[in-house]
Amino acid sequence: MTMTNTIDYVTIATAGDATDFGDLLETNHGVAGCSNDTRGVFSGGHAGGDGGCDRIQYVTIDTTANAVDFGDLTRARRSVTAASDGTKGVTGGGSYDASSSMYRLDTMDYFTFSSLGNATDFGDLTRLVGFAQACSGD
Amino acid sequence: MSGKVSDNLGRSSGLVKATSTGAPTESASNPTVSTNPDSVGTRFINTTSGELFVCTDITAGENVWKGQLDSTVEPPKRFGGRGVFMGGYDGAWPGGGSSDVIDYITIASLGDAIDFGDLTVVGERSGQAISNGTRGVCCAGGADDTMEYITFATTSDSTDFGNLTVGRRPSGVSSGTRGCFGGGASSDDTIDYITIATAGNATDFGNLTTGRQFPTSLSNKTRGLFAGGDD
Repeated sequence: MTMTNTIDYVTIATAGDATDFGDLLETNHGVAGCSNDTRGVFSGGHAGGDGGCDRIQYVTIDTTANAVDFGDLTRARRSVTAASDGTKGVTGGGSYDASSSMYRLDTMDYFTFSSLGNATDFGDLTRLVGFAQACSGD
Repeated sequence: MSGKVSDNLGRSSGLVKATSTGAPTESASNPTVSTNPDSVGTRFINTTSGELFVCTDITAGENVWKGQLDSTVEPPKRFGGRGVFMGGYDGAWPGGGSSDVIDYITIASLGDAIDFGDLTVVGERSGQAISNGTRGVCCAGGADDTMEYITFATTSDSTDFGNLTVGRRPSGVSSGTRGCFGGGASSDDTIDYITIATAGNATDFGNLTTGRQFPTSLSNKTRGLFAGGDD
């Protein structure tokens, strides 16, 4: 397996194949993604020394271009997921490697879409978890 | 007060805003998000129900109409104030296990997560679930093709939604009406779609530019992006 930095896009209302959008800042997998109506933010992933990445990067969804650095998570980790209310994005859980084992985190941290910068502690999930799936609603 | 509000156009309290735009538009049905008015405050009467609507947000094709009988006509949503984290793999490896836990948070308020309910299928997911603002849909993970959903407003266990075209661990994007799941297994380039408001099996949408597992995704109402993963 080889990690990729490819970003594809589709027009959701119209079935068809995806088109190249641009690239993430590094090859990566297990990244979280969330957005408001304008900006999409990717956080975390596998690119990193202990199998975790603290990178937060963003794209403008209605353009096509490579991702741009946004800031850093409070801790490097992969197999993360994220939820958004349109103002704030929350990245939750994740995994990292140490001593030939894979550890999970209950960490949640957040960023504000409109302001580039590092993430801030939000609180804890009820469990140590990676590979969850997140979304949000009323 | 009873009868049609069209008989009482002179009132100026509540949602009924007196305007200088002349008589309200009349129709046998409610306005839609594509009913484009001249200005905020424009009135529209459903002559079948008698309900009077006022436009409270004007954006071409995405207008918001509030009815005086509590009806709301607004564009579909993709997110909201309650965030849910569904399933995954709990604890260290080796030693942990796949999870059926659903946690939730109130995104506007910092704090720890609270138990929401349980998933019907225990499993490691990947990437992002999808939402129409009312309903959240996630995939079971692994080679399982099950999709399941929760209703954000009600803490409870998930319910079966239908099946993906191929069992895998995809990541999802949403327009608020339609959701697409992409990738999810080694060399898998499948994209399939669902209508979030209607439980049922997924339909083929197209293909990613390259097959991949562990992708992530995000979207606005028009465009969905799939990023990273293992080729």
